[in-house]
Amino acid sequence: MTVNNMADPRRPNKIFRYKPPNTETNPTLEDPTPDYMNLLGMVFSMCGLMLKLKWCAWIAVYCSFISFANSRSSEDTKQMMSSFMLSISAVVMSYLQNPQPMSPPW
Amino acid sequence: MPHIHWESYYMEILMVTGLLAYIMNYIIGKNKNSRLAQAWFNSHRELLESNFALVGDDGTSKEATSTGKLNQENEHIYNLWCSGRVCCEGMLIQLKFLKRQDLLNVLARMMRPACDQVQVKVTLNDEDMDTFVFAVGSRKAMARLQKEMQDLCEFCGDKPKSGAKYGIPESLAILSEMGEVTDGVMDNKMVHYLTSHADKIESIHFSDQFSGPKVMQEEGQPLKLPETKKTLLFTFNVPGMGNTSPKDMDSLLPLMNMVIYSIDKVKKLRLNREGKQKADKNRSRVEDNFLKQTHTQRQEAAQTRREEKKRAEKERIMNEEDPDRQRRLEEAAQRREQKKLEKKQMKMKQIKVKAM
Repeated sequence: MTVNNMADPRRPNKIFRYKPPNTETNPTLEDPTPDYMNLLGMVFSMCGLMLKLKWCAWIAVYCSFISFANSRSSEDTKQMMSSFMLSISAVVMSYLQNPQPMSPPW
Repeated sequence: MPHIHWESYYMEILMVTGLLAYIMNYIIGKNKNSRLAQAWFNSHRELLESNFALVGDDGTSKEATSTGKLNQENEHIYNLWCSGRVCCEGMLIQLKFLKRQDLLNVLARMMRPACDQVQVKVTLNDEDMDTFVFAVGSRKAMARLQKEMQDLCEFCGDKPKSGAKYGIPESLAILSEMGEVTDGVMDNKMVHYLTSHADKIESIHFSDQFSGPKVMQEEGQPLKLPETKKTLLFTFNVPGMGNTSPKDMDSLLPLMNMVIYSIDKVKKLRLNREGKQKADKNRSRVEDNFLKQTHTQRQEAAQTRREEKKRAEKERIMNEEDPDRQRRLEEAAQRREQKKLEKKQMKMKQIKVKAM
């Protein structure tokens, strides 16, 4: 039998638990995209609703989709849902008030 | 009911098509990332389980048992915590995939290609590593890290050097605190690893003074020396430049072998007397510089603290209802002030005598 000269390096008594990195002390670790997109989405939704601009409302829907795609798993889905609902309602309201098709910007 | 001319709604149809495309890309992208992550774990599982008592932990369970799976941070970042080994506290592996689930990112990457990365951060106990700072990696990464990283900036002042004399390819550069450290790290095995996998190595950073990237301090805030931790940090590029397939994950396995080898090596790597002296000198130089820079700020902070205390005390005395107690507190405060003044005068006298 060959001597196994590689001793087992595992040490069950030297286990440290996982600590998620503290993003308060080092904000560079966090990706700001979902938060920016969320904010942008809300701004465009409000513009679309108040100014009755269809293209604003559509952009808001895109922003909330992008925010969702980039969001962290630990993030609250409620906020995602609320910004999404807001953008959808902006689109719906714009078309209910003015069912005419959207004119292209060019 | 008026006839709806669907053709005039072409902008709307375009918008909806775009959204559908986004959703489809989301599903395809997130699945691809998930498959890549699983493929990575499958090919590395055996090596990790034979080296660490704990493989996979999310920190939430009461008992420290291996979850045996990756933590998913979001649709493109997965991490794995391993612990329970000689020579280190633990190892955090982060699989930083491209944002395949975000169509915007996919389009942006058509202009600027990028690759998936695997980042391995090994944290060490005090006795696991001697005092030195060292880094090796692609020239671009070394130039960037030297500017960004607090410890590389402070301890490795010279421009990144070529490692040709050790036999590593010209595409890699070295940042080191002193020659003895480079000689110590660059043994035959390490050189072999670096040469065979140079294309996949973005950066390797060993440091007893690791505190992450330089943090921008706000003006007027009393600075504290950043907390340091003995760390080995490896950043690897997954081959394929984004066009990665699950099979490519196997090609990263030798790099994980290099990580394990490095952990054991760093434990054995000890500076000689001269090197240790140099290292200690460097560290106290950095600390002194820091103290000098923040001296005025700390003095100001101490002064404000003293004034705050005095003001609080005065207020307490004012708020005291009983006139007798008030008088007694005032007298006690006056006596304290007098004592302090006398002490200061004594000190000034002593300094004068010493000067003479």
